[in-house]
Amino acid sequence: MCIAGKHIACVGMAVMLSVSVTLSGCVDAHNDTSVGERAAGAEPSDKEMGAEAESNQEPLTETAFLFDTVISLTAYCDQEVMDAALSRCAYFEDHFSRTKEGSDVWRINEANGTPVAVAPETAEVIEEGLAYGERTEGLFDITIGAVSSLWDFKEGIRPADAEIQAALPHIDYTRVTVANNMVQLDDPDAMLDLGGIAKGYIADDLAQLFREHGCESAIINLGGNVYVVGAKPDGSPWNVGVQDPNAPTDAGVIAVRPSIDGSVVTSGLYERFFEEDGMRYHHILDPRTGYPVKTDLLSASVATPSSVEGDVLATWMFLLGHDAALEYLNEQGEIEGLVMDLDGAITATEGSGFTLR
Amino acid sequence: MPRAIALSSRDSLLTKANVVASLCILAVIVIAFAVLIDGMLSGVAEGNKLIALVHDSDGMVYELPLDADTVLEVSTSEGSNTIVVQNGEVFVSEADCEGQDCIHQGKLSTTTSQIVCLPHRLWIEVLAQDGAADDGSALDVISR
Repeated sequence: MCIAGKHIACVGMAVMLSVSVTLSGCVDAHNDTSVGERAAGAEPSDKEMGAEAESNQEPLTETAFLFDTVISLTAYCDQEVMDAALSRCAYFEDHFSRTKEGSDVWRINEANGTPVAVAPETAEVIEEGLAYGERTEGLFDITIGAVSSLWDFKEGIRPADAEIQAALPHIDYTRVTVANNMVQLDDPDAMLDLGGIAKGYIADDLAQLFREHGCESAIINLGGNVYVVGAKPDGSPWNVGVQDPNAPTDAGVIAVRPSIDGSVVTSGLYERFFEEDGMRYHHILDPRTGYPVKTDLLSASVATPSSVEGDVLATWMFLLGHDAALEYLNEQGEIEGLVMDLDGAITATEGSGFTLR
Repeated sequence: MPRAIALSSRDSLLTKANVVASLCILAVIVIAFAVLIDGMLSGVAEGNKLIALVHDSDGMVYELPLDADTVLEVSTSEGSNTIVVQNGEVFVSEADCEGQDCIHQGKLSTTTSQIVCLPHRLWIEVLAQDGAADDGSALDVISR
């Protein structure tokens, strides 16, 4: 009689044991923090941690519509620092915007050739822009404003050829004077447009701000102009992806550049364009013609320690074209590049940290 | 002797083959039960449930789980956008803004980037329900 009992008891115990082991494995992993907390960002413990706010906390993220795009700042630091960074962004918007009435650039463009007093940062970014004008032999020119102001890539507005021809002579970076925080356009009809340099300059500035506030781990993303401060809190590099021009969603990247303390700036024809009568007009204008540059590149990414450099170079590469762009980038020590041609071929500079996906 | 007969009459049901067969069947049932429970819990337990957050210009934030197909129309004084969740992705299907950029930005299914309608000051991000931004995509940011 015991034999039957024992069998049933054994089987019964085996069943109970299996079920309890399995269930315990499933249940204890459940850990549900509400999305609302995460979206709000701030955690009380951050304020106490001060400058050492690094180890296990969640980063704070701020998103804003500025510089004619959406910007996102993610950092392992206090809310105070995030607020300071956002204020700084608003400061730059107020000074560098070509369209914002009363900004430094707006006042320079409206001054009819008279000297204008500007903030030190404005003077500095203009001086840097002019230096790039010389370095690129005019292929990057911050006085492109006379022509760029005629195009509207959001509304799809294209100027008449006569308008472009009339504006072209006013593109000349050599005819701008900067001294003692005063800027003068020697040509009263010239116009500044800092669109090709501002985000890089601002990213470098924000990186410095984070570091000065003791924030050593942050991502600065100004409409895709990326600067990563330091490494992630665990010391590993930030994984910076490069957008796939043919798949403008977050699932599409063509390469990854693991980065610590550096910038990755990408320019692409796909970013802003409109189509009219079967022609595609993209936003990278050629200062020599006033029209979108005719180029064999679809996308160009530049990884550098300096974001302003990356911003300018990423645009310049389109004007150089594939061969000259790679030749130039390969000669630069601290700069790496990745280009995608119109036919889809992807090329990185020798020894670069870009890994293709 | 009678006891021996009694035993063997019970034992006839519980032959070795019968016991093994019963155990096998029980094992299958237990495993099936365990898998069923695991399946029911794992979606929540692993924290991979993704939620789209739609931010509009009035400061409203709409939460749309990516595992439930839905259509959301957001209208503010700035304009209207129709947001769709389908097959684990979120995208803008219609908008009354000029540039239609938000539609060209395609579909989001990971936490790495956003869809933005600048003229309407509306933007969409994806977060993982367990609070972490990392949903296994391994990218921290996209340069574009």
